Amino acid sequence: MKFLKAQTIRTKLIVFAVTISAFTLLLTSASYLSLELYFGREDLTKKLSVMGQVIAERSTAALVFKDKKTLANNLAALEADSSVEKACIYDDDQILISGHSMGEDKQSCPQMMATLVTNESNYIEQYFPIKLDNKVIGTVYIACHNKGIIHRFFQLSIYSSIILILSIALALLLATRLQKVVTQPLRLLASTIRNIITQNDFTIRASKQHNDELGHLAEIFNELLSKIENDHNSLKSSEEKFRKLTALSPVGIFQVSPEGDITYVNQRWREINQTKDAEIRFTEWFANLHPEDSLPLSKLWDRLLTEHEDIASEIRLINKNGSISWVYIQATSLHSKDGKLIGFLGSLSDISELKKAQIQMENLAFYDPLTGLSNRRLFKNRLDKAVKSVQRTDTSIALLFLDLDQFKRINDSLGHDMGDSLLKEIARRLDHNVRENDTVSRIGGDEFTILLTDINNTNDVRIVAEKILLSLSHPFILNGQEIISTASIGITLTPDDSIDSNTLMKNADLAMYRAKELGRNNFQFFSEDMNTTILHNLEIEKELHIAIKRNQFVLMYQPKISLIDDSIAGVETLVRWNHPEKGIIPPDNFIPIAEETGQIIKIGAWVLEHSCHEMGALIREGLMPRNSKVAVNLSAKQFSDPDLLQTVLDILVQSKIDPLNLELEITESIIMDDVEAAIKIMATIKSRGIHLAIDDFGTGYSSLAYLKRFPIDVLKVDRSFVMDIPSDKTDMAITSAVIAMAHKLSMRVVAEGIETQEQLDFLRDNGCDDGQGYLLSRPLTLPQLHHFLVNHSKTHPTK
Amino acid sequence: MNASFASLILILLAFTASSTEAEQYRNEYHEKADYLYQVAKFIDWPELKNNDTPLYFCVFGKDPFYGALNRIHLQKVKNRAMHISYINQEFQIAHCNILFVQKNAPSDFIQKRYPLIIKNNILTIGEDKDFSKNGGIISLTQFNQKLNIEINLQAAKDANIKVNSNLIEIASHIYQGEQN
Repeated sequence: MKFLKAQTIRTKLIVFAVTISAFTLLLTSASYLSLELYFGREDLTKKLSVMGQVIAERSTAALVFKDKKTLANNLAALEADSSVEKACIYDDDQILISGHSMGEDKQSCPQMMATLVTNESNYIEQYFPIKLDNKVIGTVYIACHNKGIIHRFFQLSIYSSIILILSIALALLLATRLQKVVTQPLRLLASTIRNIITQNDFTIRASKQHNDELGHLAEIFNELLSKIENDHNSLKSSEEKFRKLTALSPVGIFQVSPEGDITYVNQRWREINQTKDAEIRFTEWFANLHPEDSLPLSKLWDRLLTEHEDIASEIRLINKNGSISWVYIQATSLHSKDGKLIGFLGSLSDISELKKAQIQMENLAFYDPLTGLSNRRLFKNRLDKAVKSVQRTDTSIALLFLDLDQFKRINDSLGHDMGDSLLKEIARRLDHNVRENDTVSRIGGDEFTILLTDINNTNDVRIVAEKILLSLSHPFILNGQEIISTASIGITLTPDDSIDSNTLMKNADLAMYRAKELGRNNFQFFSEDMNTTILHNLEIEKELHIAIKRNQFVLMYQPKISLIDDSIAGVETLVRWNHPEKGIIPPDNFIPIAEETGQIIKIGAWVLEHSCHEMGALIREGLMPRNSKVAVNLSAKQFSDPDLLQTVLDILVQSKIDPLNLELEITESIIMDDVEAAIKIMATIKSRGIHLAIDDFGTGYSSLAYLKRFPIDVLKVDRSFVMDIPSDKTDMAITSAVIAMAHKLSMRVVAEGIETQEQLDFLRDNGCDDGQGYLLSRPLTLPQLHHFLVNHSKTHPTK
Repeated sequence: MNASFASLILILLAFTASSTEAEQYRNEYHEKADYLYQVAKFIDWPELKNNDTPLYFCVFGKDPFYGALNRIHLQKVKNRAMHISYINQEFQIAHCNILFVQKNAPSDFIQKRYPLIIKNNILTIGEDKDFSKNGGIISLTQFNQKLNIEINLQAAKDANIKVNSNLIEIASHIYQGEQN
């Protein structure tokens, strides 16, 4: 069988065919021959039996009457059959009566029947009783040789053998021919496959020659080929895509075999590594790295190898010229479908530029680009560190908060470039006046901080503060212009004031404000009472919150009287806080706080809404002239609130009054904070027909140049000027000049704080349009206003 | 004396001779009796209603067998017991099945009684060599120690008796029809 297994199908088929036909024929022949032998003997036996019976039957009388001649004749009749060898007749005493021998050996019958010798293998012999009247009177013995059968058997055997040999020869011939039917298509298929392999051409197809299983096999094989071809094509195209992608990739790509050899790199990888040759082990490539990076990377590489943990790391490559490039390396393991490791794929990006930008970003993040000083963030870091170190070392530090006085004015009047130049110079002077360990930072527009470490006593700090103020007091020469700039400084110390950096900042800020309050160009140490003010303000803020919710505000109305015809020009509404415990609180005590916390927006809206509502009612009742105006004050927060215009318009609609009946009062300082923005806001308000008044005119820094551009209807002369009439001639001159100027600019003029008749007369004489003050009427409640208006209409009937 | 002695010897011799001769004679009859019995086995008589009916073997006249026939008396032939009966009256012939005719009987013995014989289906057996020729059915003669059988098939046919072909085969002469 082993031999057979090693053979080709061709040989196997031939062997099978020949074996089967030989075996079949052999079996058939053997069966036939044995049957032949069996039936030959059977026939002979039957024939013998018939012959014997006939002889026995015919020999009765002859035997009885001892007619030997007849008996001999009877036996002689057997000669007709060549197979009969010997025939004998014995009487009932078993004595030979007649015998007849034929054949070659001519063996005669023995005298006594008992001595008959039988030879079964060569003879077929039988005894037949001779019966007469049911009595046995003798025996016929006949022996036949089976030579005929044997002879025939041998003849047939030879014949069968010849047929067998011929059949095998024929089977061999046919099998040799027929096996081609099977092996030919297989050979064709095999040669097709070989062609595909050698030519690597998957478009080749096997030809289908028959419509049988082999044809079917060829079909299936072709289907498989189509599938392989498709897969091969898509694989090729995806590989092509991969090659193209990697070739075009701005990222260096490399592939590493499971054994650790670099098997592929793209052009970009070579560029990054400045090499043409990449056929090295991946670990050898580590030699190109910065010594600080090669060990951590090889650890990461080990983790990727052992635990398949992806690599993502920033490392430094040392270039051939010794320079360093930063690269970002990423690598991951590749696995086949069944989870077998097939290699590693990685990318390499040159992030040197990014790193550079990052450093720049960090600089930007921590340093002020204008002055080069550390910025708020870096300052905060240093402060935090210093505070911590102070706690450890039991030393002291001082935080100086410096804000330039009136910087905005300089900026506005001289321009931003000049402002920036000034800031630069101030920074330089500040830095010059501190020790190297100390940190000067610019934390805002014109805000600087100075962190002084290792302070022994407040005197040290005082000296530094004085030095700074002195250095700043020298005029700055910028673009040939001499500028004087001063600063206010707030100072706080650790650990006496606080050991919390945020609190320290707040303290310094508070102290700085105190310095501002105290006339600027000085320094103040933080003290606890500053905190008390803060706490007080906080309480008010809290109470204001409740006040807004519970509507604890009330409005007072101070009438404005026309100085020309004494008619009612309008009212100015003034808000009061009706505190349930503290009683009526004047606006000065809560408005600044509300302004700071932003609560002013809600309070302001409330005031505006109620003012308009009441004004509408008064006009409709005819108590107020149709052209009279209700003046409402706008705070800085309100003025810069982007929703202001919409809020005002909504209120006008709700209260059903004409925009002409509303006058919004803005302080000069609000406008001066950002003149250009303020002009825009004012213009939009004005475009809706709402009147604008500038409050407290003369207290700020507004110049005539600005005033000309302001879209203002009314100019209010501040009470400080009116108050000094008639004692202060200068103020009187200013007042009259202002009135004249306003009129030139087509503005109405309102004077407030009129308390004496002299004041009133002066103002009227100088053409002031309207007046407001205790002389005319103090602020009134709504019922009082009603009363006032009714009275006024009686005393001044309209014409 | 010599004469008397010689005659004594002769007598003795004669006696001796006669005693062996007598014995030989007796054996001859024994054998003949056996043959007669055997012949009956080759004959078929017309069917009888009763198969148990004895088969009568009649000897007409003097017993030529000297009692040798007794050996076959009551022997069975095809289930029928053979009865030997000695008759001397003509009418007795009618009930015979087999009629043995002695050698010294007249040659026309059968002819004279032929109608009677064929009417009663009687097998006639004779010792004369011309017995069959003269109308007897079977003649049994011995010649040179050899038994000679002749059969007149016409006579058998007339008597409605069937003779087995085996017997016919060994017959030395067959008479058929009216040839004689």
